[in-house]
Amino acid sequence: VLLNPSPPEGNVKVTWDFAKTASTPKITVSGVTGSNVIENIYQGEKVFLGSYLTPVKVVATECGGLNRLRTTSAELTIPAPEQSNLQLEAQNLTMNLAAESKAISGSAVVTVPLGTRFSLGLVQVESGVRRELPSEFFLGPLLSLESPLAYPTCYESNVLLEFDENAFAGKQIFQAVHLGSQDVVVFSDEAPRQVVSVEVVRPLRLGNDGNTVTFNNVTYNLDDLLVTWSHKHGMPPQIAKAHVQHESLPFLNVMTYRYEPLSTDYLEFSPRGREQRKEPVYQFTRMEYDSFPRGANLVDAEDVHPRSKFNLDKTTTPKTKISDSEQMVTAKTIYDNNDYWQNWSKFIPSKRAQAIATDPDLELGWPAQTTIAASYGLMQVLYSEAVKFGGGVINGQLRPFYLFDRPEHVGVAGAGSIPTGTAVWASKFRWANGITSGTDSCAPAFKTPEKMDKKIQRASYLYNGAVKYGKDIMQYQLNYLPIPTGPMLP
Amino acid sequence: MRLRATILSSLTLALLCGTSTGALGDVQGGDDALAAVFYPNDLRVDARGVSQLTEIPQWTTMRVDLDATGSQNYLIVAYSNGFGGRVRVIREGASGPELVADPREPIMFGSSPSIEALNLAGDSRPEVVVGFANGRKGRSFAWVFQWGGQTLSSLNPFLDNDPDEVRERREIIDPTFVDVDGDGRMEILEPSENFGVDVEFEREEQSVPLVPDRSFNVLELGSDGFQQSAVGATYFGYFERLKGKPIATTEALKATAGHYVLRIINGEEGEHRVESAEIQLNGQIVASSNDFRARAAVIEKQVSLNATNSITVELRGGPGSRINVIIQKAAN
Repeated sequence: VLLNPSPPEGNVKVTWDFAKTASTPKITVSGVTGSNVIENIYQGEKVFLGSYLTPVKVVATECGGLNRLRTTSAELTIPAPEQSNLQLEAQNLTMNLAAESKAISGSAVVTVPLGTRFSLGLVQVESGVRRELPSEFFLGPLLSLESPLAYPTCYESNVLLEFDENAFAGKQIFQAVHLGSQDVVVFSDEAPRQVVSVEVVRPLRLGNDGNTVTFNNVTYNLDDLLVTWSHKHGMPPQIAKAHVQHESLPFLNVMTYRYEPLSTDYLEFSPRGREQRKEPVYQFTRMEYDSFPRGANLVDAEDVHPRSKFNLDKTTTPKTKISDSEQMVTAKTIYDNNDYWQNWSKFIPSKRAQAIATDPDLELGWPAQTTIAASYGLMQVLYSEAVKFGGGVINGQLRPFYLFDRPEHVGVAGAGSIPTGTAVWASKFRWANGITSGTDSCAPAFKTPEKMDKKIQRASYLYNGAVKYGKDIMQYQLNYLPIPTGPMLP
Repeated sequence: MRLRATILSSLTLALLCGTSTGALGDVQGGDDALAAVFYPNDLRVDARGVSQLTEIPQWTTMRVDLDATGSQNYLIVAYSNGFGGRVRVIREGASGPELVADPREPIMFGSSPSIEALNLAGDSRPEVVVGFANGRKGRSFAWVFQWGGQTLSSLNPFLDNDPDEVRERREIIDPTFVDVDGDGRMEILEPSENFGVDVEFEREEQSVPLVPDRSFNVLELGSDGFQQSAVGATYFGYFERLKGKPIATTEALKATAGHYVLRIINGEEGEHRVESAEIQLNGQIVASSNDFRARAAVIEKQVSLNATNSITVELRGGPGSRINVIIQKAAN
């Protein structure tokens, strides 16, 4: 006898009648809770407590192998046990999946991938009619973290963010912000207290594109790396991957490198700006200038080499590229011979452009800091950002080359661009929410997901500084939504 | 008076701003040392705090005549710890230099602080513009402050108009201060979201020629600070006559095809006006030396733009003369 689908409510009454000649008669009922085997009772009737997790199946056997079962049946019994008509409803809103439901009697487990926005609610089913029970939801204590968080981060004490936390509603929306587990306690006037244990797990993958990176015939799981560091810094992993799409040229090129002679170098490192090349933190990785030699930690073939994509002289045939050993190459030389394809001048204010045109030797005649005034890797982090946030270190040294997301680098904690990139984003998210102090906890509350999205967009814009960048990120992230490994209610 | 200091240098400041004879200047080590004394401790705590981030303390100073008394008796200092920024106003007090303004709002972030003092409100007192570099493109995020006698108040535009949220002022990106309409008061031009080119190339062999968007938002000063004008600028260019033979400068620009007004703001603050020049748009002369001969402050021309365009400007007057060229959509 098979009751399939399992009855949505109530218990199962099983009746049976074996012939007297049957040998060791046995009734086994699966899909119910509690003891489910009855042996050596030839005739009877028993009510089993439905678990409602799997179809209820009744099997009658005897050792003789002959079919001496005269009758057997299973049917729903009334009344249902207390609260058996109460269900937990959960829906993955990020992936816009159908709502799942499951009977709940005191507790339940929900599984969601990191970065997922989802809803929880209690539903009462009466005579086939479903009704949401207005409830209040509270985050319980943090139960576990998959791995330690890293500063800067947000929501340090939770793996879940609850929207509109004072609401009394049929459904409540949450976002999975860290890997780990945490209880959600649900109070309703019409049902006993329920405890929902939410497990925030790694997604199966982030979208269907660019899940792995291959460089020099070695492949690694990019999504896994992004999830790990997004977890640590409280960043939605799909947002991190959207930054990778925006920043890497072409997509997933781990050796992406960009030098900014007219903005970053001009304003921050050159003698026309802040002249940060003098700062002690840059002394081992800066390029030569004045009487100072090239930084002692620089390896020409690795750290200096990215500038070799630039022309030293565009008028020769073939064009002369900048060799790694070339000394005192000025920003003017790089600008004059490469702006036609790098388009630096198309981004700067007109007055700065005019100043450069007026006296190019004065404005750009200083040695280009192509190592420290540049951005690196899949997330295009500035070398200065790695300095400030402590990323990119291998064997005690921070070198620009280590910010490229090569397989041998991403295997070292903190190296590559992603640890620094996610940290930078987290710092921008803190700023976007008005949290400026490194000593302050960061747990901004939002009434709606849309309000959080505005802050995510703003943090993403601050990451790059281009006006449209934040909007682009919100669009790109739709390509990389966290795909669940299974149902929310297993 | 236009003042600008982008680097920390007492000499530069002295050249640009003059030095005060008051007690502020008597501190050993000058403005730099004074700024160091007043470095906000919470910037140090914020960077180090629980985070152990690497703090890179920086500051830029400028002496400004905030009260329009004829004496540059206020020292403005823009600070950064490498992450967050702050502006402070220091003045000589009864017992020595004292902090007289330390606004905590709006929140500023970025590094490499800079300061400008500009008269934006059209009164006798300068506004203070503080900038910080932010993001991998090295853009300047600027904050405009107005001195109220005892406090610095931000004039930046508001972030959005969400009625549920506390109104928050936003940064102004890469601002250009220019009198767009020729009324004697400066507006702010801020690159629009389409400004520049939308494609970058990692290798030269992947590149293709691109025509840039050169459009700007125009911010006008109202009663509640700067607000974005409904009419932006499709193009803005600043041109200055250099020494030697006149040179024609050509720039390409994208536009929505249609009718526009090309406005030439001749000179700055009544000075440095151009007497002879030629401006071509898509190969057609739209302004010639005849238009400049009268040295009018504002010259306007009706023009048409295509989807892609080129503008060529050649200044022929005395070195140092200058113009701003703005193209805006025609009213109808």
